[in-house]
Amino acid sequence: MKNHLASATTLCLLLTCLFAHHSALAQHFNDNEVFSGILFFDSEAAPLVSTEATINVAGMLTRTRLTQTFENNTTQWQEAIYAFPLPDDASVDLLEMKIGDRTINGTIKPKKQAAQEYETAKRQGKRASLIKQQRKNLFTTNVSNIAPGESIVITIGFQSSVHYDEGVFSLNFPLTITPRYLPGQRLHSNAPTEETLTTNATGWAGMQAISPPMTTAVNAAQTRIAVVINAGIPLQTIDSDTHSIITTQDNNVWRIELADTTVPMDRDFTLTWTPPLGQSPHAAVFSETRTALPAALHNRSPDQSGTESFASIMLLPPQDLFKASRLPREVIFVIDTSGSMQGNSIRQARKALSFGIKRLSPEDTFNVIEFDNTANALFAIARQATALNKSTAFDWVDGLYADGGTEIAEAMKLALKHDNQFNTRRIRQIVFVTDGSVGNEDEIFRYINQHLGHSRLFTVGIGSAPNIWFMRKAAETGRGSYTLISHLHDVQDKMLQLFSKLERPVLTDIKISFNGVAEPERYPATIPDLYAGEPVLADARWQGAIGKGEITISGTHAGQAWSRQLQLLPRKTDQTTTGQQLAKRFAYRKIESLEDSLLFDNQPDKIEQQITDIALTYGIVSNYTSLIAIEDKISRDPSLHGLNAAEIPSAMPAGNTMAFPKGSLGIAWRWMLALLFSVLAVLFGLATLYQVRSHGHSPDQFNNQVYT
Amino acid sequence: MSKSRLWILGGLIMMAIAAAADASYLMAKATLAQHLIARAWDKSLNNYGEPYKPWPWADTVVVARLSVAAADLDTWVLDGSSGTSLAFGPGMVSGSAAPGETGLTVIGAHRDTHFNNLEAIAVNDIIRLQDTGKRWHEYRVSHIDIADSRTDKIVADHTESRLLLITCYPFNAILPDGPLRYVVEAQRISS
Repeated sequence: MKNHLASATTLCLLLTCLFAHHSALAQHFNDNEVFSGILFFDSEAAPLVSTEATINVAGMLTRTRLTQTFENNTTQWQEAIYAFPLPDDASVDLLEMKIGDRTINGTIKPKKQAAQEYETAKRQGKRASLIKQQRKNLFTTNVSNIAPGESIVITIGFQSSVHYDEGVFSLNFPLTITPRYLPGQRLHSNAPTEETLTTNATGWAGMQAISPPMTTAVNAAQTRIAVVINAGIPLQTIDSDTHSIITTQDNNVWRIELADTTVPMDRDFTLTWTPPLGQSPHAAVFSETRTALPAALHNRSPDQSGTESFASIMLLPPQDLFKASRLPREVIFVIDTSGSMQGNSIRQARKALSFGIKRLSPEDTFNVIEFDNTANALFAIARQATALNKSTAFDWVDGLYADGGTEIAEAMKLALKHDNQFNTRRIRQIVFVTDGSVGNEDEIFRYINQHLGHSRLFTVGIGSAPNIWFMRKAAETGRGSYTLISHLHDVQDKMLQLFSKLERPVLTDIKISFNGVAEPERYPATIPDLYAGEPVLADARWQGAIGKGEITISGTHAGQAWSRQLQLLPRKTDQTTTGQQLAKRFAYRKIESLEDSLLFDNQPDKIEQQITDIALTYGIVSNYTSLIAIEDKISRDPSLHGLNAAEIPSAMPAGNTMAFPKGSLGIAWRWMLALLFSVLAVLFGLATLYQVRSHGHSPDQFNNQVYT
Repeated sequence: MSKSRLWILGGLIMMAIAAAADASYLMAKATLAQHLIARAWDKSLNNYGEPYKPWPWADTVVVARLSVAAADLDTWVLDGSSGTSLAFGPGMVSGSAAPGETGLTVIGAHRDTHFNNLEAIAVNDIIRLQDTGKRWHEYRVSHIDIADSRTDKIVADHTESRLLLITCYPFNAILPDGPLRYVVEAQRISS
C-alpha cells in the first residue's frame, strides 16, 4: 500500500513542480521584458509621503498651506521626487523645509539657476528642496539627502481663486493625476534626471516629468484636508460631492473637516457653498497698494518709489437680467470634414452637430457649413429652425464624410458673412467643430478679429489630439469659449453644457472704464460675453498709489445699453504674503496672458524674459522660476554614502482601471484529475493482483484470511 | 477481491470518468456554443447591428468578431468577461471601447479553449476585429507581455485606439486561476 501512496505523491509533486517551474519562467520573463504603458508596478522602496492641506477662503481668493511629509524608512539616503497636482490657477509663492525644529525658507530663483543650485547641494550632501512647475496644474517637489529614519516636512503656500457660477461658490482641490501615456513606454520606475526632462516647443517639460509611477495600494497616498471659510455672512449650504465632511461654525467662520481623518488621494476634493437667497454678491472691488519688497527691487522696480496699486473687480449682473426669456438666436454650425477628421472624429463631430441642431427652437435661425478644400453651406441663407429644416440638416450632416484639405479660412469667411438686415437684437453664434489641424493660425485670428462684428465664435475640439491652442485662441479672439470633446460618450454632456449656456447670454460687448484714476494695465484685455450666472472678473494694476475713483462696467443686454458704476477705494496693505493677494493674482493673470502670446509671438525669448521678471518680482513659481531651499550644513558625506533617487507613486484615480479577466477554465486540471484517478485505479488494481499472487491465494481466500 | 477493495477501485474509476466527463463537457460547451454565437452574429449584421442573444436564456450578446490569421483564430466576442460568458467564447471586459473606437478594448478568453493558441501571435502580426456595423478594424501587435493580476492593473484611460487580448499564463499549467496573464497588445492601424 505504501508503494501506491508513494507513487501518487511523486506524481503530485511532479505536477506541482511542473507548474512552479512555469511560474518561475514567467517571473523571469516579467523582469526582463520592456513593458508597455498599460501595466504598471509598485515602485521600489521609496520614502513615504503624507500630505495635509489647510485651505483658507476669503472672498474670491483662497490661501492654501500644503504640507508634504517625506518619511525615509529605508536604510539608504534618499532623494524623493514627488509629482502632485494643484488647482489650475495656483500661484505658488512659499516654500518651507522643516527638519526637526529647524525651518529653512525657500527663495524664488530662475528655474535653471535653481536647478543647478539644487543639483550642487544634492551632490555636496546638503538637504535641499526644489519646487518646479511642470504644467499649469502639475508641480514637482524634489527633496534631497533624507537620512535613513529621518522625516523632512515641506510646506508649500499658494493662492488660487474660488469659482462662482449660478449663485454657487466652489473650490476644487485636485488630489491625483490622471495618468498620461506615451504609447509603447512603460510608466518608468527610474527617477528622471535633469537630462531626461526634455522640453517641448512651448517650454513645458516632456512626458516623463509628468508621468509619475502610479499605485492602487489603498494606504499608499493619504491626505488630510481642512477648509476655513471666512464668509462674514451666514451660509445656507456647505456640501462636498466627493467626500463626507463635518462642518462647524463660529461667528460666521466656517470650519470644514473630512469625516475620515485621512482619505486616499484617488479623487479630487470639491467643496461648494451658497450664501442665503438675496445675499449673493452683486459687485465687489478690492484694491491694495504695495511697495515692492527690497528683495524684488533689484529685478525691476515698478516705478521710482517702488509703489504699485492693484484692484480686483467682480460684478454679478442683477438676477432680473438672467430671468429674461430665451433670446432668439442665429446659430451657424461649421463642421470640419477634412482628412484628419477621418474615423472616430467625424463620428463625434456629426453627433455633436445633430445634438446642437436638435436643441434649436423654431424662433431661432440656423445654417450648417462643411469644409475641406472648399466650404459649402447647407442653405444659401440661414433658415428658421422648423422641424422640416432641421430634418433636412440631419440628413445632410449624416451624409458628410471626411477627406481633403483643411481650408479653415474659407469656412470662417462664409460663417462670418451675413446680410445687412441681420437684426442686432439677435445673437449670432458660430459653433465651429474641428480638430484644428491648421498651419495658418495667425491669418485666421486676424480675419476673425477684423470681421467678427456681432458674431461670437465657439470652438468645439474633436478627436484625441486636437490643437487646443488653436481652439482656445480662436474662441478668445471670437469672444466665445472653447469646449473639448475627447470621447464619443462625452459628446452629449459637453454639448449640453455648451448649449445651455449659449441659450442664455446676458451681457455682450462689455467694457470697463475708469474715472478719476488713470487707465490701468488690465487682464483680461477683452472681457468675454457674460452668460447666465457668470460674474465679470477683471484684475488691474497702476503704477504708484491711486486715489478714489469710479469704475463703469457697461454692455449690451437684449439690444439695450446697460451699465453700472462701482466705487474704487484705495486701501493700504501690509507686506506679508497674505497682504499681497491682489498683486499675486494680477501677476498670475499677466503671466497667463503672456503664456498665451508665447504661442503666437515670434519672440519667445523676450516673452520668457518678461514672464521670468514678473514671476521673480512677485515671488511666484512659473514655468521659468522655481522655489528652492538649501540647508547650509552638509548632512551626508558623499564619499561614504550613496544617494538613492526615488519617485513617490501617485494614487491611481478611482474608476480608472479595469479588472483582468480570468484566463482558464481548468480543463487541463480536470483531465489531470481524470488521469490521476485512472492511474490510481490501475495501480490499486495491479497492487491487489500482485498481493494475491505473492500469497498464492485467490483474492477471496485472501479476504477470508484477513477477516477470519 | 473483497467488496471494500472493489468499492475503492470502482470509486476511483468513477472519479476518473467524472473528471473526464466534466472536462469534455466544458470543451464541448465552448466549441458547440460557437455555432449558435456565429448565428447570432450573422443576425446582428443583417439587422443593422441590433444585438442578438446566441440562445434565448443567454445573459450576454455578441459584440464583435475576432480574427487572427497568425493564431488560426476566428471567433466571436461576447459582451462582458464573467465566467458565464467566457465559458462560451471570448468576452469583452466591461468598460472597453467598442471596436475601432478611440480607447482601450480588452478581450479575455480562456487559455484552454478559445485563446489556446494565443502564443502563436508575434509582434507585428495583424489582429482583425469586426464591429456590428460590418466594418473590419485592423490592429497591429505592438507588445507581448506577461502581467501579474495581483499587482498590475489595466489603465482604462487612453487617447488612442488599442486592443488587448488577455489569457492565463502559463499556457500549459495544470492548475487553473493562476495570477499571471499573457497580454497581447495591439494598436489600431486602419478600418
